[in-house]
Amino acid sequence: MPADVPFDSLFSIMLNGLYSETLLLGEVADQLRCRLPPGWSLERLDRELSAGSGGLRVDAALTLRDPRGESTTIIVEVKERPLEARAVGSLLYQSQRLLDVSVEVPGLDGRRDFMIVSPFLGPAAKERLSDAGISYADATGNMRFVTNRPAVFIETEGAIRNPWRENVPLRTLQGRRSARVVRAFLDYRPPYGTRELAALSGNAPASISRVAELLERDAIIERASPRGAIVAVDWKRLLSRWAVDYDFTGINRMRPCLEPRGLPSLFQKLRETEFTYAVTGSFAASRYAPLAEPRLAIVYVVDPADALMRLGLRPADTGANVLIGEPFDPVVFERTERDEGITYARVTQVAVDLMTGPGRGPAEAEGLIDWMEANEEAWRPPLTRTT
Amino acid sequence: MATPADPNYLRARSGLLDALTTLGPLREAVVLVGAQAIYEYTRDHAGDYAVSPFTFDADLALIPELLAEDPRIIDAMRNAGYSLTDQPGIYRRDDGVRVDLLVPEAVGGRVGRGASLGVHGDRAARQVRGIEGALVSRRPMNAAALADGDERTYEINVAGPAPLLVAKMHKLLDRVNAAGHRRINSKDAFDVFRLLQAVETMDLINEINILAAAEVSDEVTSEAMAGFRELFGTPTGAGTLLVADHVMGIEDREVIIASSVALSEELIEGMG
Repeated sequence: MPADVPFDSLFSIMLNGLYSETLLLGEVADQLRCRLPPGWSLERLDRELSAGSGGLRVDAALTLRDPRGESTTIIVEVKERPLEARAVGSLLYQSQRLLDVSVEVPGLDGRRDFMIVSPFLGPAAKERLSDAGISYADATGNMRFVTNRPAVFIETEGAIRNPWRENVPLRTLQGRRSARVVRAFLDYRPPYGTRELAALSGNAPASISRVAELLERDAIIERASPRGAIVAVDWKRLLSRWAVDYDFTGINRMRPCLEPRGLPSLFQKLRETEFTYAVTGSFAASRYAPLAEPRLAIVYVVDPADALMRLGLRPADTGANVLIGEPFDPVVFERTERDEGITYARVTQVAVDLMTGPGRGPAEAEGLIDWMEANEEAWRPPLTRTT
Repeated sequence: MATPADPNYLRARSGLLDALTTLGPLREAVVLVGAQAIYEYTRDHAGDYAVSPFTFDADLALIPELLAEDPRIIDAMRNAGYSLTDQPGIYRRDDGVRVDLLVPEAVGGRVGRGASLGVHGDRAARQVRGIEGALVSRRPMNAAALADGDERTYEINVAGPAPLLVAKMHKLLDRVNAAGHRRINSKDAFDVFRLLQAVETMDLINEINILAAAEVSDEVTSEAMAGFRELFGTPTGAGTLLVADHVMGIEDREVIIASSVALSEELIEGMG
């Protein structure tokens, strides 16, 4: 939550779980106003805006003016509920109609811009809006506001998670069961049916359906028909969505250790070992997308105490070059990749670990995802072909 | 990252093989010591660090009692292109390669810098204190050329890791004790670290105990180990800091320090 939006006030102005349109608009206009450069003004247009021809309706309008007097009218679409990503398509159509100057909106003249205001905008919705070039703002401080004349660009980050979650369907991928399903969606190329995917990935069909429902709302998964086969999974956006709820260092119990003979020695010992393990992090990623010399080995094991002893590692508070520990779920040991005698976690697991991991992880994740995009055939088999 | 394809390695190794070629039957009395010997034990790790494992030098220890009379050392070296400098035992070649012929002080036979080597004279090799372990523990290994197309390989005696560690410690201690520390080369400390990383600690301990039990090398060995404790036993020891300095900006300093101390402690504790 941004510091300038008191959390309590958000709740006090909610009406039966809904945000009053007037209060929401006032709140957002205030946030916007205090981020404008000195000498700029932003005023609510008092004029009554009648519905235009063709069913166009305007919720509200704001006038933005720069110090030289140049101005534009911001047509504001106010949503009383958190906007879902899949609703962005129809919004785009609406904005194009409203911005088309050949379409007359009685009461409006001069330059027009458009923005959407909602109590909360999640990462998926924000991404879609920003891709569509639609300005947006929510009551938690998420804001992207762009106009050309007068020229202004404001972008701020608010809450990642919906503070009114109890009023909307489940929106989290936290938890082991969800993670197992997400891995199945990422690892196999659609199309597939829920039961088919359930059988192969060892998940309950009900779990698959619940997660699928959530991802459909974010427009990450597409079905052929409302209860039909899953025909498309946007793996890249699914990874980003998963990373919002995943936290590598928080959910995996990793301990820092030292291999004083250097990391090549550790890998030699891993080659000779017989227990279950999976290497993730930079070493796993650098096979595909070398960025810099990896310095930290990250290894999932089933029994950390036993692994430490067998690998000759010492716990180290400072100067660690190995993170080793128990994973949040054994799914990290599933569909692993074997390369030169070393077992690596699946590239999809490695990606989310890096995205939320320590050090240069997030930067390395970007490189890895670029590789994944260019080589989807190589890492994402169709369901019928098992690896 | 430095690899054996580095022209410096190729030249240094080729210079060593040239000398071994012309020394002929004298090779029986030769033991490879110094950085090129350390490389033989640490080569699997050599690529781990982006710093050269050795320079232009080759250090050869001579065992006086095994030396044949022919060929004469200085002549043989000249045939490989090396001329003796004004320092006994230091030979240089136009391409910059330097070969040092050394005799452990304990068997050097005379007072002065040069060793007394009978028909070979007093200037063919230099006396050095600290390499006595090479007389006690050495093993035949194949020293092969590193350059593509150079097929030469010689079986040559190489000092064991423990004599190499002891010799490096003497070199470091001489310089640490000298005023101002200015002549200290961090590479010498890093060579110690390379040995600690590459050689199993138990093997090193057993070999050090053998050196400590031999009359010719017991004194230099106990001096070296006392110095080792002081220089490498703690994170703030001069040796530990030199190791970290050698790879400054290349390796994570904390990891290198922690690794060096962990391996040193293992050795010190194992020695009892």
